[in-house]
Amino acid sequence: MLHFVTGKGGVGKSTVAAALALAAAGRGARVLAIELGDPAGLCRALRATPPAPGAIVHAAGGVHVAFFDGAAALAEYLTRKLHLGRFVRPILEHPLYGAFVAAAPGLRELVAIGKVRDEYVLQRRWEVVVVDAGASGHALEHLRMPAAAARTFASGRVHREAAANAALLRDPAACAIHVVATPEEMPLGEAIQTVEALREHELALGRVIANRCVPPAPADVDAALAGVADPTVAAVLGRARAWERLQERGLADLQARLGLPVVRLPRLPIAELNAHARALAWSLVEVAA
Amino acid sequence: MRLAEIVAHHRIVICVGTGGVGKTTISAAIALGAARAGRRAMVLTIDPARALGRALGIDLTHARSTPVGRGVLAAAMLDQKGAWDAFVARHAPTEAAARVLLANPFYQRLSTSFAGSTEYMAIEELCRLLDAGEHDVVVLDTPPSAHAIEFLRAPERIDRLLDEPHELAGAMARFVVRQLERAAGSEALRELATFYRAMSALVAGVRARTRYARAILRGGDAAFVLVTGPRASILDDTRALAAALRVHAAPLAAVVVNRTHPRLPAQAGVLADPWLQARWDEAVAEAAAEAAILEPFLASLPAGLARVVVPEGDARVDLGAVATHLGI
Repeated sequence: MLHFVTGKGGVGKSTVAAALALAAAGRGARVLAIELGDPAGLCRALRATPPAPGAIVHAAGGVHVAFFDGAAALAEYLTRKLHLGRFVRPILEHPLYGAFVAAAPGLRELVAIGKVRDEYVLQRRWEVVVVDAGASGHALEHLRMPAAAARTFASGRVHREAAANAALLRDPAACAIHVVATPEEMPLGEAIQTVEALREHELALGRVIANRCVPPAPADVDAALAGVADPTVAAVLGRARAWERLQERGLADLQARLGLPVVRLPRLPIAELNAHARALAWSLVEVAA
Repeated sequence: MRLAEIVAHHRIVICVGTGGVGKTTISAAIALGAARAGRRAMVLTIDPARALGRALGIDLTHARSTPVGRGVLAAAMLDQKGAWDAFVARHAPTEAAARVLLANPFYQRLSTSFAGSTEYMAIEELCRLLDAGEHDVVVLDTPPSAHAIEFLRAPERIDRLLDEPHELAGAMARFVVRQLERAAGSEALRELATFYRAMSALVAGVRARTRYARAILRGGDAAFVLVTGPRASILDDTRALAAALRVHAAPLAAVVVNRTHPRLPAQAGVLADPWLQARWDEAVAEAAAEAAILEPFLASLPAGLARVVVPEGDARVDLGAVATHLGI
């Protein structure tokens, strides 16, 4: 299975992606975690040293990690796909090539997805590939690019490559694009927009994952809250209760609008990201299956 | 200088920071504060954050102005594609030249998804708003880039893109063209040639604008505000971003740590309700962990930078309260 993880900035995407990878590895699968953007977050969450672009390193918990740097990946990919042999350097250094690559802006996104597909489909080495696809806008650019490129490039290798990538991203049996949010107004709003965009482009939607949820409050909590005498404690708990109300309302609204169940992940005490990823892996075993 | 003075003495305030720290909220609160101080302020946002529009009482999909105290607050959301198309229309020598470009697939990619394209249009809109002279101060909420510093590189990126390839003659060029045709198809190469031909009529005008934009970003009119949050990973990114801003000669003036929590007494007795007890324990642990990382961070900032700590508000954003916490 190929998993993509996205969501608004700051909701814990990298941690959730790492947790998903650890959950799959915990079931005995051979797992590769890939970062499409800055590798720092995912590597922190998997406690791996950031690998060189294109290299694959072993991380804790039986997961391997890779990240793809745009320009280098593109050169490597074109070299391999075009079988250029000894003409590689003169072509890559030619100003025409530079102009083409700069002016065909979708090419890098296309190659990033192409490399993910190569690792997932063509290399039989991995059973599960988890991609930390970055913030929603960034991720959607990547995920929409194969279909867009297949239209722009009407023929040639790029067209065939793009069409194959687009088909993979639309196949729910092979691919799942998960949207992460925290149970707050703006991240939930962005999650709804992202899911709608994924549906509009017929991309393989996975699960909506709500990170950092507090457990629902018991029915009699307001009576208990009214009995708290210390004003500092009452103020802190009053705010916690207000947040919990908005969490429940926001999650109910999201479920109603999207017609989708939400996977809840618990709010964890402040700790380093790897501890979070390992703790959250328990809650994602079913998603990783 | 305090943040209020920084905002009072600049025509441009640019909020930068990693995703999820509340950059849009801080940008809007700064603009609201400037309006309350009697200025004609505008906040230009990139995120289609409807929640912000609601908090401002303004429909962000259309530029609207509302009187606030003695000043005026306007808000607009950047329409990237529309802004690019208007930019082309302004700089194309003829309507026909503009039409050719607008229909070109390479241009359409440039205007929607080229790396740096949103960033550059945000800067261009900023310059246009200032030139129009309808606002005393424009607050820009920068796009959530993978690397926030992309924002400063955007004018150069656009410039580089427009460097037309000259070495088109010779056997090597023909060979490269053949290889690119094999890869991308001959239609794509024809479109690319059309793109460069159509763009060449605009290049002089566009270059003058990118030069102007670069000067504006580094000039005395602009102040950068770095927005961050009290988490170790965010503070790490913020340190790197502050260093990068220095390298790019951006005038960083203030650091805002958003959504902090008050220090709490550790011992509050035992609460009868376990749910409430768990929330209290969380709050105490978070406050302690925050204090441990925040104080060294604030102490490590260079002297002369304004530093503001904004406490976490209610779940629903109250911009007036945020502006008050910012001291503006």
